[in-house]
Amino acid sequence: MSLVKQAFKNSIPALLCYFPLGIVYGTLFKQQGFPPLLAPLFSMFVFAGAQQFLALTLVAAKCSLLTLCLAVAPLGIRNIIYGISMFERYKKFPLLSRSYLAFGLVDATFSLLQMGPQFEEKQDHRYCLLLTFWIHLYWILGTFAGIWVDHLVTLPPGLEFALTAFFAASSVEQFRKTRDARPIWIALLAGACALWIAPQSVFLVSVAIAFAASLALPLQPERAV
Amino acid sequence: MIVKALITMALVSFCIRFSPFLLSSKWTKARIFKKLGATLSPCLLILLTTHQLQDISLLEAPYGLPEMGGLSAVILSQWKMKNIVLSMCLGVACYQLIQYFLG
Repeated sequence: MSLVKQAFKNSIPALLCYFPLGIVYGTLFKQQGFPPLLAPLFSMFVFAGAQQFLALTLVAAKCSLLTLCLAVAPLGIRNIIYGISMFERYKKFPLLSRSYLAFGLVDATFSLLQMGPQFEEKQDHRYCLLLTFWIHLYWILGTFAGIWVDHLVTLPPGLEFALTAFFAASSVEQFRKTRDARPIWIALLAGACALWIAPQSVFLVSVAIAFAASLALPLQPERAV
Repeated sequence: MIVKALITMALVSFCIRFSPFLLSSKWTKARIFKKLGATLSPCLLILLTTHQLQDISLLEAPYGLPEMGGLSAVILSQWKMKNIVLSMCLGVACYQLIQYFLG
């Protein structure tokens, strides 16, 4: 199987999540009264699901650009953590492709690259680029499809669950690889604490708690494979 | 305004995501980054999962049962069969079925 096909095959879970979500974004964009053709440009150059949705509301409410930046930046914190974990793998690649890979390192890219097959360096470079490209394309095409739809589409509850299922399956694969149960406990406890102390911004607070806990814990010795 | 927002957000998004790659590799070999990579990244995947579920209510019908059923199906199927698309389909089907019968 060629690398293009293999990357496509491995990116199908992202297709199932990002394409429908892109449609929802496109319709919402149009419904807010913005020029529809800008929607795919947002998806192409910003490529950040939650931030794009948030920006729609803020721009419609005529917030300043500074407010916009301050509101969307915290949601990008997890991308920095993805970047840190992919640093070693990406650092050998040329600057231009490293820039694209860094830009395209969203939730789905990160989870799929974590579980992906192992290649030697040159192959791995192409595989990372292709997988990132496919995922980026689904998001852009979904948005395109969305601006063609006339009425507002809301995500059917089943599809919303598809994204949850995708992250859950990725977590299982991660556990299979590391056999380290501590991240599971940290995440669950951090989530519960955040829900208790800051119900308004559960995700950010739980990431902060998990961050602190990860630093406090000793490194697990590497498993002999 | 929307065009300015597009340019600003594109820059913010790129700068945030590229920032870790500006570090020198001496830095990232440090224990602190190894720890973050090894523990925090799996944590994030789980937090993304639970983040999707935070709005369900355990006290009102259907008591979060569709989510719990769907999630169990995904985890079991992924652990046994290692096919992520299949696990997603099974999870969504299970979720929909429970919702249909309880809702």
